[in-house]
Amino acid sequence: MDQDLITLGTSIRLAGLTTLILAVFGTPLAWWLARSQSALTAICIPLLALPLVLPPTVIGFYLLLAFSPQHFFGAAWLNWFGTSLAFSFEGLLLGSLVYSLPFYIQPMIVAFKEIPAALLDAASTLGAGWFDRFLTLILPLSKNGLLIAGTLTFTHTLGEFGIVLMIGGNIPGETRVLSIALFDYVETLNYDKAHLLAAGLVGFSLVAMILIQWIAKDRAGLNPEARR
Amino acid sequence: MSFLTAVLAVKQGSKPLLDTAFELEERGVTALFGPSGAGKTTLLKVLAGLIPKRHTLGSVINSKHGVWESEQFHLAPDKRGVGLVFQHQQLFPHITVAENLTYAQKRQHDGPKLSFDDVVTIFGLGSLLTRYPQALSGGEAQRAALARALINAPRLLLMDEPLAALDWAARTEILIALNQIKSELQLPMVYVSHQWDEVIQLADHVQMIEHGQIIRSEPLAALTTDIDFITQEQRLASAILMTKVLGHLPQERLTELTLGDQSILVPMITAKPGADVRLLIRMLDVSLVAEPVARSSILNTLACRVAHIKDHEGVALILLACEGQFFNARITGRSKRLLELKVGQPIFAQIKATALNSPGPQDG
Repeated sequence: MDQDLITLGTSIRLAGLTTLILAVFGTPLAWWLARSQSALTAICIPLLALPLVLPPTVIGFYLLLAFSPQHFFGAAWLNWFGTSLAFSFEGLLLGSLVYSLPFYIQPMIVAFKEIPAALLDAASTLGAGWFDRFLTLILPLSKNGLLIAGTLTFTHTLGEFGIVLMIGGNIPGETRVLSIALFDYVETLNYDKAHLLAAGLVGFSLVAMILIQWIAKDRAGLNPEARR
Repeated sequence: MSFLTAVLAVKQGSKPLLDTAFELEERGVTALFGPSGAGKTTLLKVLAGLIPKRHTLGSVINSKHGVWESEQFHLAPDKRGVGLVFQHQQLFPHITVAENLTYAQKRQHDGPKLSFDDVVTIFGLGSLLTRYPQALSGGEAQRAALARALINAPRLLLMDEPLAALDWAARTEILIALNQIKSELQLPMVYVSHQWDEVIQLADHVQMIEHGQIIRSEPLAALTTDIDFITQEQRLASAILMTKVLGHLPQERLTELTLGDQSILVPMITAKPGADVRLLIRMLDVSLVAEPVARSSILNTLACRVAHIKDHEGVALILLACEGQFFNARITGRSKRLLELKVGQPIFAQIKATALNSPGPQDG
């Protein structure tokens, strides 16, 4: 059981950090993709959506290559930090950021596109600068999108298997996460433990989906019926 | 003195939206009057700073606050102090009307200030403060949007067809509130409209815009006395007469106004003797008589001359000249024959007049 708690801790740390980092860097990226007139977005949107359709093992394979000290990125990392990315928690985190990115930015792009430009113009003329508008208008108006994007990112990171297997390996306390542990238990015919993990993940995911449903039912006061 | 001068060329792609010089008076309301697609909205957006530099050539220079736009420079909209109210929903939907107002109040510019209570009173928002914008009618939302723009203490207020989506009653309420703002604040205002009857109720100057160019810029009085201009179809329905307050008759709750040598009685208004008062005369509220009628429920009879006659599908539109100003009557072809109306002939007009800076629309 101790082993499982350590594994759970690694999984939650990975999913939590991934969600947090994507919230910080993915939010402005989604804003740019939703609002920019630049032709660059026509390439960036499909490129960043690729992890949605590619087999996870494909991404894992390329990440593994990139992490290897024979390649520029892996070599540079080794040079700066003195550790290899492959089969490390940091490598796993980088991989998670790549494959969970679309799960964060797609709902955010949708949420941002729904904010009428006239509202932002009105706020500008009232004297609200960019950061002011972001805090007082953009964030509250995309609250639903933010919560959905965060929940999807967290649960998706928690459940990813293919990429983790390729780049993370199975080091307890470092890269061993729930989905891998479950696979191990099944392989070793330890069905009791497998049930515990699987049912736990089902329960958690169900709660998350109910949460999304509940948020999406317009708790932000954007629906006049709900307010009257 | 002008408040602002601009020389602008705005393009979207290769399509020119605006190519004009523009000068804004420091006092009163300037109406930008012209057909849809003439560039009115684009001009307001450039003045507010909402059009990116890459689409704009030219300059906007404010006589008090310096350069807003030039070849090298674009002052951000939040630094300009320009209030902007458009036709459609612009209240922040996630906060109440009161919170929308305080949002603007916290970010006040350095223009003429109104207190929270003042804007609530002027725009009749007392019972709406705790509502969310979605629970407001079109007229209520527009009143709240105007109140929000004014409590922000802008240096200049731009309004882009703020009444276009509203019914007649809601429009009248807002026009009265705007007239009150005009008389209480030293705030230059630009009012965009393609409705002549709105323009005459509010504007002091009129700039006509067509195909992205200001083609005519004059005081309103110069246009309302220009026969060629006002006999165009869409400008006939109502007219205004510029009058002055002579005095009040408190027992009868009436105010006496003068128009040249003639006098007009309207339900009592608050303006002081000597003050300018704008009277709205709708063409359907005017009837013509050959002689003044001694006893009538209509209080006001004005001696006029027929300035122009236009026959139109069985009715006659009669343009009347009175003390150098003009208004219209619409009568049947039969009445026209009975009165034997000809251009230049003296005639008496019985009118119902609405004094526009009174607290409410009232008939005289």
